[in-house]
Amino acid sequence: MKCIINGEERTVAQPAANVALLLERLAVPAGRTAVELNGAVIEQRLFAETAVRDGDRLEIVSFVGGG
Amino acid sequence: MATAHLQIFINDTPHTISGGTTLAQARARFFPEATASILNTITDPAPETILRNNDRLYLYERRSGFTGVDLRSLVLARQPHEASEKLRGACVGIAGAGGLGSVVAETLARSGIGRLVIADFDIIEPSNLNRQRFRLGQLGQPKAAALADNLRECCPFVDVIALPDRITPDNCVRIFGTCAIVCECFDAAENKAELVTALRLQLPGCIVVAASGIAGCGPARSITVRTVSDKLYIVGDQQSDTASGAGLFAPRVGIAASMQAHVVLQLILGEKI
Repeated sequence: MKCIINGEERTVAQPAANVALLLERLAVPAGRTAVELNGAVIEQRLFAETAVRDGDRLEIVSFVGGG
Repeated sequence: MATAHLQIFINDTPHTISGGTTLAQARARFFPEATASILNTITDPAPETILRNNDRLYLYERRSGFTGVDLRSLVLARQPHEASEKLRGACVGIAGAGGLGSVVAETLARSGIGRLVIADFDIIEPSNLNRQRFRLGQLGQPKAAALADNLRECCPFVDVIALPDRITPDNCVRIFGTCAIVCECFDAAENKAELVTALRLQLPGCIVVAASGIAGCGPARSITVRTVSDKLYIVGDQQSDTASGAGLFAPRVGIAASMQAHVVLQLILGEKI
């Protein structure tokens, strides 16, 4: 399926039917990541139960340390 | 022929003058002892400069106690007056008073933000001083209160609220509920993600300006502003992680913090980011 991830169209191989699996596939550590799915903010505890569908638009902000 | 009259502001007080009046004439009439002037943000313009309607002129004696002049106005005399008035009306939150937060808060205070809400649970230790804007005499003090003290020394006209709280999803609304914009200035990546998510969910009208990717001494130009949405901006290179051992240096952390503060000003002033 195809998703818009951080403004770029990306082909995501199945199965990445939810946010948690998608992050795993993208090698993004979920515990330090903020996600907006079609403009809606998704809490980390809901990543595994939030479906990702063809055509979805995601903003994935994976934070690194330092301040 | 009737002479046109203009209204100008001298040290914030409106005065009516005749058209064609020069800066030197205004100084001689209103403040002859003045040794310095700032006209519409420009320092010491030519004495023969002809004043225009709604000009803002500050006249002062450099070595005096600046009596009779509002300190805030004089401190902000190099900023356009309309901008400073917009900034005065703003309340901005600073989540974390460390390398990022101490610089964000200081630059925003110096810009004349009306109110700053600073929260940090931590105390100052020696390894903070390579980049965090504290002094030796403040070691052991709570960061939020010490930062507030420092800000009041240079900008007493800013209303600074300092809270010694550990910010969590459960208290972020209580702490930052009155802020139009919150700057995420934490250190740990997990805490950054948690706070940004909590603020975006619980304060949907609040704009979050976060930082990620400031470690090491890589190129300054790699630090950019990512617009995630009109409510979330990320400053940094988004890659340089302290976990790599690259460390934190005052200039690069300061660049990112200054860019966070810059985005805040742009948002308040309606500038394109």
